[in-house]
Amino acid sequence: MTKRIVYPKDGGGIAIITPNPDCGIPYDQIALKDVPVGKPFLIMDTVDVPTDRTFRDAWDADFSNPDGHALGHFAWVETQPKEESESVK
Amino acid sequence: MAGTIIVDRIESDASYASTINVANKITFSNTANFVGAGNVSIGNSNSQAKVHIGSSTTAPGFGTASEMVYNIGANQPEFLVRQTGSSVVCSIAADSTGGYVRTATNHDLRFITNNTNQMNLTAGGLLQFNSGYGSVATAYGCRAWVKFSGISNSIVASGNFSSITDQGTGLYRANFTNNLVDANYAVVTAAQPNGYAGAALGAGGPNGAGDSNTNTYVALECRNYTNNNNEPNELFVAVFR
Repeated sequence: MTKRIVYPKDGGGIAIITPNPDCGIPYDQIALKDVPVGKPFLIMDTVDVPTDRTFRDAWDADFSNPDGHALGHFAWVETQPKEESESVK
Repeated sequence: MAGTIIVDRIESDASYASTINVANKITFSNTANFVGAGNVSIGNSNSQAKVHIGSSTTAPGFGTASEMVYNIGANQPEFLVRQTGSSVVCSIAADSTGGYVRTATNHDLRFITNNTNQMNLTAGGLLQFNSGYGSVATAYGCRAWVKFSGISNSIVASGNFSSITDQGTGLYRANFTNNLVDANYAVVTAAQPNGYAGAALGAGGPNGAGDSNTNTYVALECRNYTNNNNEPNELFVAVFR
């Protein structure tokens, strides 16, 4: 089941992230990384996102019980394990 | 007949050549020191270096003014060649994380096929190659690319993009998996029109969502010929830096 990540835009309405399933990063981690810093987000099944985009700019969602709050790209990178390497000298 | 010869010391008059023929093996019970100005060779009778393995003497940079050292460390085996005239050091090594081909000095690493220089990795980190260009010159990499379907809202294929953010009609962010060093990159975009509408993409911004390019995402906007935001059937983005 593919997923979508939804977060509120500053000026109202919502943004919808299509994660790349081949990038090697789990959906929840993509949310923490690619949603703007501090924003609440929801992770939902793709089938739950409307396909009729006629009124796309009027879409909204309930973020009172979010799946998390974003860290942003660089703070997320800091949470990732560092690869140890023996340096050849 | 098997046997053991214990030798404390071998000496010869400088005017005589000395040869010891051993049918099986020589074992050193302590550290073996080969003292003197001569060379040690394996597989040839005309050593061209302090340690010369094999019979070839024609490899580029390998001559009488070179040294060749075969070093086997516990965690880091390394085959190292040093050109003593210029101090260029090149080696092949490995450790527990991977293999290495390198110059250990401030010199380019050159790749040669058909006895012709085809590719360089310069000491400054530039990748140079021919590949039909006509000469070996610096090539600048595509750091990220994506084919995105606006119909199914799905990433068809990509490299170094972890996601696409739909920010509204015709407004997108393409989020890098690994961030770029800065936002001073070039973006090449294309879009397949949706229905009758022409599609055009702007990259750089600020776009209609107030977004500009950063080192973590590309800001995109797609409009039709009436200059209204429009969603393309397919969206193509490539980032060069």
